[in-house]
Amino acid sequence: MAKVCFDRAQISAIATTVGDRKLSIDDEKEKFGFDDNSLRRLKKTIGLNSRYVVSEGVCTSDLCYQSAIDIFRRLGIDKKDVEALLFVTQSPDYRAPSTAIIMQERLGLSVDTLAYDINLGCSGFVYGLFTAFSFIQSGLKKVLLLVGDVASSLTGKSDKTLAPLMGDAGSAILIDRVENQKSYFVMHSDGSGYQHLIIPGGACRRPYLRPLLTEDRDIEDISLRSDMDMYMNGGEIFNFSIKVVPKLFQELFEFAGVTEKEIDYFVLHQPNKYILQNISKRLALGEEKIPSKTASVFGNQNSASIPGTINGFLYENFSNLKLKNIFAGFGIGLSWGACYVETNTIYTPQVKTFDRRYYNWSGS
Amino acid sequence: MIETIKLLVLESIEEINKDLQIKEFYSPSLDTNFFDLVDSLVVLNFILDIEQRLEGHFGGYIQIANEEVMDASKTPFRTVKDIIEFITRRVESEG
Repeated sequence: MAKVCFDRAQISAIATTVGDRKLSIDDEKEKFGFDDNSLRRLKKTIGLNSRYVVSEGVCTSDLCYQSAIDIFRRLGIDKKDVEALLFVTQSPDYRAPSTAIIMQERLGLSVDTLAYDINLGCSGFVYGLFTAFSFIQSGLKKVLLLVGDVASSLTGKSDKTLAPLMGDAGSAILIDRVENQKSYFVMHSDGSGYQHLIIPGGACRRPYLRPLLTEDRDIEDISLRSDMDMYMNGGEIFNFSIKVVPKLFQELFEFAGVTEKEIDYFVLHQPNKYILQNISKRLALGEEKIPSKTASVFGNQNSASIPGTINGFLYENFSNLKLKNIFAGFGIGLSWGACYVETNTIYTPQVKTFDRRYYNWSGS
Repeated sequence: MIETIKLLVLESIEEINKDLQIKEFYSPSLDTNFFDLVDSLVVLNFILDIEQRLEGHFGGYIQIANEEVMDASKTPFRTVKDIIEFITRRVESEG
């Protein structure tokens, strides 16, 4: 069973950049074909309100680049000290090579840096943190973790079942080596549900066929998606979330030897308002301990939703206080994991929107 | 208790049907199919509504959603009768 305790790693900084365009669901009503009644239900149940997306051509790596530069400048990081760069995303710059390796050069890191991508979505922050902490435990001193997605690019542009939910965000997290800082991780995966949340086309199993894709698109059918777009079986994903997350917390409480009363913040992946409120009520957690507004303000940020929540709503307390936190991610794969991590006055600036000055990439 | 819950369930269906206008829900019987006539968002909307009604009536939060409510083969929300019986069991188990 993948239950691991580390005692050498700590988070030193978390920064998040979101897309530069704020879209209101009221303004998108006609585009998605919502009538007033269905829009009211979506607002009430899911919490749809607004989301931040990128302008044409901006990639996840651009958002993460701005976040990383913010940390480097603010903390005065000597770039040659960064020994590993991990990039967790489902929206890389290219199918190959790993965007992390491109980012090594773009960020000015040493060629001695270990760098590669991890293909995960909503569980990606916890898995990325697990991998970074593993590197530190193995002897590395400083790891840069980048997580995020231009999630708006993963769905059909007019797929009203998914597109209105998605927001674009890229986070950077700096992890350092320390002495005697315990953290606990519990990780799971279940491939039997892979088909419930999937982009089926574009890889080897179902290659991308441009003519077919073009002919299949029917602009009159606003719900239609292609094989290159994400599909979600909402009911199955709902069942999965309700089933695994409370059990995940119980596992982590027992493994880490903590109780819910000791925890300052439960920062979960932010799929929608109802699921978070359901989990909060099921575990009898106060709403102040389990933030749930991220999807309503910024959209579903996939792997960046946990750092996005910290930079969006909790940045003052993470900057000024010593905190006991549980982070939990769950989603595509199906994949889920949680960790107990203590933080102590780390650098967590308020979330920033993308600044075009960081889009100075000269690559193709 | 089951009569109270029946009343709350029918009120909840009436409420969500203000938006949906599904003719089977205008005067639902115990045998009226629910699950097959709605999508997952409506099921979620119904759960949210009935949980609020139960909390208002019984004075505490009663969890209705579980890992089977959206499962087409196992859902306890197939018919109105199924819903009432399921919610009654949930309320009784909460003491």
